[in-house]
Amino acid sequence: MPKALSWPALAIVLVLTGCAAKPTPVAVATGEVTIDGEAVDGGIISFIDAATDQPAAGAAVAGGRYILYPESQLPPGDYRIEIRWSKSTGEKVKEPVYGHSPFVFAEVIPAKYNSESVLRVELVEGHNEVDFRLEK
Amino acid sequence: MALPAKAEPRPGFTLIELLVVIAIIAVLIGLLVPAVQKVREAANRMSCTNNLKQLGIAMHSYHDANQKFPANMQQVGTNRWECLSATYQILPYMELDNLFKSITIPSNVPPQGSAYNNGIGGNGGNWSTAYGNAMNASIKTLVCPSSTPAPRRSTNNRGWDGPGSNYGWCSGSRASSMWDGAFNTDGTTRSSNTNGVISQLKQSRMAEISDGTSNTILGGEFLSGSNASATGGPGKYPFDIFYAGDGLFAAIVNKSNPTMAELDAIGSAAKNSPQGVVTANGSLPLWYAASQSSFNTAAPPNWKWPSAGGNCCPGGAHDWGNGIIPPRSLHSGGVNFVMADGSVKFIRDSVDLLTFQNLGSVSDGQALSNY
Repeated sequence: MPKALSWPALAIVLVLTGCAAKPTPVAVATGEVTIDGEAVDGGIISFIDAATDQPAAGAAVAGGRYILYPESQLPPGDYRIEIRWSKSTGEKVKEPVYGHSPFVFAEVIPAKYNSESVLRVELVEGHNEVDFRLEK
Repeated sequence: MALPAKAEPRPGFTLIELLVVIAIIAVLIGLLVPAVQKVREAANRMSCTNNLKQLGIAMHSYHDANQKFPANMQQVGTNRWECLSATYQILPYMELDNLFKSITIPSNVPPQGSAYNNGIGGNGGNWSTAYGNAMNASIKTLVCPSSTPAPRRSTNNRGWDGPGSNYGWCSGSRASSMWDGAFNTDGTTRSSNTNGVISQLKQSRMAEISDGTSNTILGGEFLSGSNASATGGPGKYPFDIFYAGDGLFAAIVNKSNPTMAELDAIGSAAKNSPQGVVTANGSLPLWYAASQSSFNTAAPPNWKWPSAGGNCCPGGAHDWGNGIIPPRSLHSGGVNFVMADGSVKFIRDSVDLLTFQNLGSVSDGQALSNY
């Protein structure tokens, strides 16, 4: 390289390096959720930080599968899991408003998997495949 | 022998000089143009805070005259959804008395805060007159200059389109949009479950704001729909409202304070919604529906997920009962709010979730951290 060009080239290299922020590590998780073999459809899975006990991220369970997206920005670590499924009972709310009556919902997952849950997972950076096969 | 005459230098400039001048001008333009854009956005933001200030003062004038805030529901037509918003009630205090008087409230509808279902005959004309005229009138104070235009009348395939509405009232921190209350023993009126200053089902008083009026959100900004096809999308984040299913809302444990995990679940379901999308939101300031004249503080401002509804209403533009309608704006980094004391505040997107939910609630009793 001619000497006249080498100084600007060196300057560009110096300016550009160190500009990109190091991305914070993010855990992504997918898996199956069933209760007594039945696929959970329309439930919520919450990842609760085991150290602080604060809900850190969550995902919807549809058709027996959940996907915790990278948008949730969940750092890798140790998490307690709570799973809830408010399932339609088939009954409808009595008073229709707006010409439309919504269904009545009831929780079908026992407390040992949500408010008193002891389910724990350790998530690593990148993709995690964790299945939850629950029993009533 | 005579020497050849020396060539006289011709007046003018060389190509190099011309290029240098052009380069200097280009650099100056490059410096100036972004500055002009920034000044324009700063002016828009100032105009937006001014709009919110006007709305806050009008709301206070209404409270002075009536000792109550208005309810975000005043039936005008035959059907239960043919109702006007709290914004309609404050029109006389916004120097829009002519618009206010152009709407006739029939004598047989209930007072603001309740509505009868399909029971009142003969009021269809009152509704259609209001819908075609006053509700389609463009009101400058209700449109933020930084925002994108709303779906104009007769352009959205589900209707409920109109002149544009970027400001609404805070219904509190519950993930509910409409009709959040149980029937009273009379079978027609409902008690209100919402915890914000403006409720659909009751008129609250300033004295009820026990957290302090300067610590409670009265109103704020949201964005208008993209007018994309409403039948199953493709909707456009962050402008449209996507359906996530009622079950996820039913699973929220503490209804007044949904957790980040519960919000994530609803938001990610809304993002992948197979159930459809609403794109005629933020269009009708005088209609009582959430996202037209009200929002909630369940999720933080400019929420990273799409605004979410439950499972309703085919053909309609609002959700039946469940909804996360977060405040949104195109100002960088946050959203403008008018507090219940009439002051205007810019709240950043990065505000702590619980702090923001407490800002929306009138009587949570919690101390606020800095925001």
